[in-house]
Amino acid sequence: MGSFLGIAATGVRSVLLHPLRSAVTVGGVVAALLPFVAGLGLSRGLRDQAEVSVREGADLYVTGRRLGRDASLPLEAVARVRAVPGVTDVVPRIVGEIRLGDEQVSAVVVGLPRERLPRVTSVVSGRLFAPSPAAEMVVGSALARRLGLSVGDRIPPFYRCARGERVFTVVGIFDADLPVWEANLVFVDLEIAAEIFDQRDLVSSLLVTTSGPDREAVKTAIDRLDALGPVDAHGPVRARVVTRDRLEALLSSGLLHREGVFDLLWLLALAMAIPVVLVTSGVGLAERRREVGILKATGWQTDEVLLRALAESLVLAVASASLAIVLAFVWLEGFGGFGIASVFYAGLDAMPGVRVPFRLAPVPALLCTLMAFVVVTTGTVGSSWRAASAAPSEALR
Amino acid sequence: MTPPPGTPASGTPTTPSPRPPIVEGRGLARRYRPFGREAMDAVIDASIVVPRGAFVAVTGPSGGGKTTLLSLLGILERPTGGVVLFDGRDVHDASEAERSRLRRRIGFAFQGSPMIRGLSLVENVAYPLVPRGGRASAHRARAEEALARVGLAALARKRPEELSGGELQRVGLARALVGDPELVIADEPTSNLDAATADRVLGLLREAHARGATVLVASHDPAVLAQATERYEMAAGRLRATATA
Repeated sequence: MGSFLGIAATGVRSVLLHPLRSAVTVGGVVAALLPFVAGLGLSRGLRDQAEVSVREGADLYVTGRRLGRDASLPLEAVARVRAVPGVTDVVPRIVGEIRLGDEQVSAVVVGLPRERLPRVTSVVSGRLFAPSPAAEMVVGSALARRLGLSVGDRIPPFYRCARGERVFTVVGIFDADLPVWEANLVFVDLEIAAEIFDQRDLVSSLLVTTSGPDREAVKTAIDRLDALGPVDAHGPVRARVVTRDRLEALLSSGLLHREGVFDLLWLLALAMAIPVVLVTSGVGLAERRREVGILKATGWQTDEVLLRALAESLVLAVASASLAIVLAFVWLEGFGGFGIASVFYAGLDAMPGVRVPFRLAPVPALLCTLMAFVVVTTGTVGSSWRAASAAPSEALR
Repeated sequence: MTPPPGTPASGTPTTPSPRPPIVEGRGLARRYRPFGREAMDAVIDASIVVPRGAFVAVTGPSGGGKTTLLSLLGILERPTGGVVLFDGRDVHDASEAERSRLRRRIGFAFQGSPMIRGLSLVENVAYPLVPRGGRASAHRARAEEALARVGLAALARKRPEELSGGELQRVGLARALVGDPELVIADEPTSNLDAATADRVLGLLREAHARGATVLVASHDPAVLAQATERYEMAAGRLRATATA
């Protein structure tokens, strides 16, 4: 045991003995790990947000379907769905994309009845929009910052519709528990949203709250409604209902898919990084061969030489993983995930301008350390093993 | 009644067989094949016996194969022909682990005294003791003692890069002697040393020999050769015995 610890201690000492070699190895591993750690942190942050969003949302989400395709719902659908047994509340909603400002910044307009703003939001300055016909909007704080908007500002017409164009007034700025909402959401009255998109008496979806535990029964009842409004020349609009559980599963699988694609790309990058690390571990290779030759010539066995290299690898791996985690935190917290946040958050710019949600969990940190260990060991133990397998006199030559 | 060990079936006691030589080379050959060049024979059919407690010197011109012969006998490399017997055991087929274990019984003072750069002298000298177990402080104390024996106690904290060639030579000898080896192999231990230092190094070899270690040395130094109980000469890879005291 004494010799085991003694040999391991010489490995730890070896890290400091060769600062350039250690720095190059740590640098190579950090470069390979950093995007992975940051990406996983973002992915987990996004999943957390999605879970909050779904948890705070409705029991059922109803959208329209016509000829097998997505379609807007007639406003009459609110009354028809509300009449279904087990339904306690129905909130109509309009969601659509607009572009604002000279830079044509992408934003999402959410039209809701005034009193039905999501619970995860809170107006931090100004007030809520007044009911139609006032052209008023409440803007996410990050979007307001980006466009230089404050309460009372007027926004020139940004849409065209049959009823003409209107100048909007920013009456409030909101914060949300879900930071990305602050980056690109604009709340307006439901009727104003219908006007913006020129879709009178139509809505994008209905948020349905049910009373009993049997959501599936209510879902089936809504599914079976013949039509959600008057049947026009294009035929009836039927309902497509998604339960909260299903939505959660869809979101999760969508995120896992994205995370999986990212992991795959990262693994490819890592596969390319291993030869890079092998090359970088070649920094000081001659010195390592010489050292191993001295050790072997003075009675060290090959497994003792490898234990020394393993201890060195472990220290380098822990140092690399720790540095990668710290830098990932700085990247995500300090620089808003510049360049990587947009991979996970559709619609975000390379420089998001909003605090992107992320979570650096312990399991990925351990995984990261393990990967660093594998990569470093490949370089360090590999070269030590090659040197230890040669005759000591060869290594000393 | 079971006869005592060493008693033949007839019941006549035998004298215990003498211990074999510490190291012996029989018909040793070492051929190198440098990449892109012709094969080169560094050692050709060399046979040598190094009895326990002997002081054996190998002399001869530079490039004659002395260092290679010492490497073969010190189990640092494998011969391309012949056998090396260490303590009577043929080491050719020994596993790498066993060869390493045998090397712990040898103290090798290399020409040029290669050291691990960045480590202090005391750490360098203590390194061979690390795999043998024990406390680091005990290793350090032994290394300091070995450095004191070669007159470098004051430089124990220095690094090899800060030392002259002669000082390094003495550190190399301290490292070779620190584990109290049965066999000390020294390759040109007094070359590049002033007369006083060479005397001191020779004194250390003599001291090790007096303590019971076998000494095998390659040297041109007449003072070293004068100490030898057996002498060999090596030229162009061929070895021949020249004198025995």
